[in-house]
Amino acid sequence: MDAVKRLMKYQNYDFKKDFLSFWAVIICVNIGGYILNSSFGRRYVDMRIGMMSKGSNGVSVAGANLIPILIFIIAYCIEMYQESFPLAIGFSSTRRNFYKSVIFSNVIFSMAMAVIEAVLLKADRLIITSIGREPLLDFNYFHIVNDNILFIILSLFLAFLTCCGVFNLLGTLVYKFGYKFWIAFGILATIILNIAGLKNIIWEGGKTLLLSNNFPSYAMKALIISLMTYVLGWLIIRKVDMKSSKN
Amino acid sequence: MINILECKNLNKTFGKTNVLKDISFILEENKIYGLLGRNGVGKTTLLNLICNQVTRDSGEIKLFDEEIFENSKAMENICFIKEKDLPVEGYKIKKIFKIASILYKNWDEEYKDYLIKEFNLDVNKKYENLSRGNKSIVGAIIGLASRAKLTIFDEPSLGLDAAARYKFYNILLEDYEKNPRTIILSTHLIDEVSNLFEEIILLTEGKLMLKEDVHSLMEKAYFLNGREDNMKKVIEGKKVIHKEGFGATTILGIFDSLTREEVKMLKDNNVEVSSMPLQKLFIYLTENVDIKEGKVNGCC
Repeated sequence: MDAVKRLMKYQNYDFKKDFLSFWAVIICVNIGGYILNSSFGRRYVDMRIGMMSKGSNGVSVAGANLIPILIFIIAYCIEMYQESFPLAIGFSSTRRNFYKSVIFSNVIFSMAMAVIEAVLLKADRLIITSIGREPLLDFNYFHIVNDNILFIILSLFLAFLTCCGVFNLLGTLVYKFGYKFWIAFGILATIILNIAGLKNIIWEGGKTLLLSNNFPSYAMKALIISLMTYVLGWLIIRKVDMKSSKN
Repeated sequence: MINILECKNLNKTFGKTNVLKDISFILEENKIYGLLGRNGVGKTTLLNLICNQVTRDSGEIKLFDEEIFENSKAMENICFIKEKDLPVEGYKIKKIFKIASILYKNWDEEYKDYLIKEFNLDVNKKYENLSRGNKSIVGAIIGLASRAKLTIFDEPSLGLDAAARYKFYNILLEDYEKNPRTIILSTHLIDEVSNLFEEIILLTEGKLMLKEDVHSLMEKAYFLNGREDNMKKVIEGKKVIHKEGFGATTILGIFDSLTREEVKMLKDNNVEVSSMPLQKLFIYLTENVDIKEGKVNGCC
């Protein structure tokens, strides 16, 4: 456990600055979003900056943070195996301990992201209302007014953890197979996109897997996907050889 | 002496190339080992296997009697400094040392600071902007300050100028005396470090050619310089690993024991007997002779 703790400390040390920089930028962008919504709102009624929903006039600036969060998760998970993993193994850590520390870090990361985003979403409603716009309240998995903040945090946490699991698996695949993975991915994507029947099956399957109207089913699906992706990631990384860096 | 590392029947293949073939040896605690071999014989692969950087096809590696694969207790006692760059593009040196201090259990922060001053290293520079020599110094500092019971340096002096190399060797020896540990040095600059080695591990074509105490090895390695006729009687049945001639004079490299009587007989016959430097011995052994079978190439 001592070795896992050291690895956690290392990942935390490495990650803290990126995490704080990310949120500093996002909050600045959000402030800009509110200013634009406020000034556009006075001149052009239809102009909205932020996340919108079909058939609703609502807007959420903080809701639009979900896309950069997703991009941050992808970069974080890929970087984990391109930089942190070889460095940790190079400094005599074991693959098992590293993987345990990755899972712990992902849980903490998802929770931290969920807490900040939930607070921003709750505040977003008040700010949007105060600038005279209609806030977006229904986020499919939770409702900003009807649900309490803990429920929103939990919903977001599960969503982020699932993303971490999926992109952690992507990180392991990219580390193990390198460019070959992207070639295979490109070929597979081309085949799927060009065969109508196959495309529909995958689209419908994805929707069934990801969309859910009730929380227990959503939570169950999120946990199963996370568990499966972390197990698959471990199977890929547990005996992988370190790649030589350039000299 | 306590055994620190035991390798048994190690095999590793990359694609169709069998890089390591049935390697077995035992390393004792608190000794400096020289890992020698020509380019591409599998030295780095062997070190990568010992440090779990690469998985083995078969065989066993035990550190203090514990299998090392995915064993954090065993791995805590190993520090491996590669000749290759660290995978840390864009990191400042102080950040690399900070990470090393977190990950190495027995890290000596004070000693690291002392080494930074000794090598006059600017820790605010980015690793990627360092010269090859300074990158080697970063590796050397990590290896020394890690205080790992088994510290492995793969080409530690790569890119270092002569002054920095000698400073590194002196510091290594000084620290080894104060804080004994097992060190494996893999290098091609054999003459420079031959006085550091206590034992030699020699690899040829992915196999262990020999593992022997440096003194006993050097006691068996001689140059004989004189007329070939005057040496013939003594060298009969001995392993001759080198031969060169200058007119009537012949220089023979012998890798075998010589008795006092034999040495006296040679001297009486005007044959000069001199010891062979380790680097020369390494060259002749890896070039010419299959010692196990006692074959002699090129002469007699």
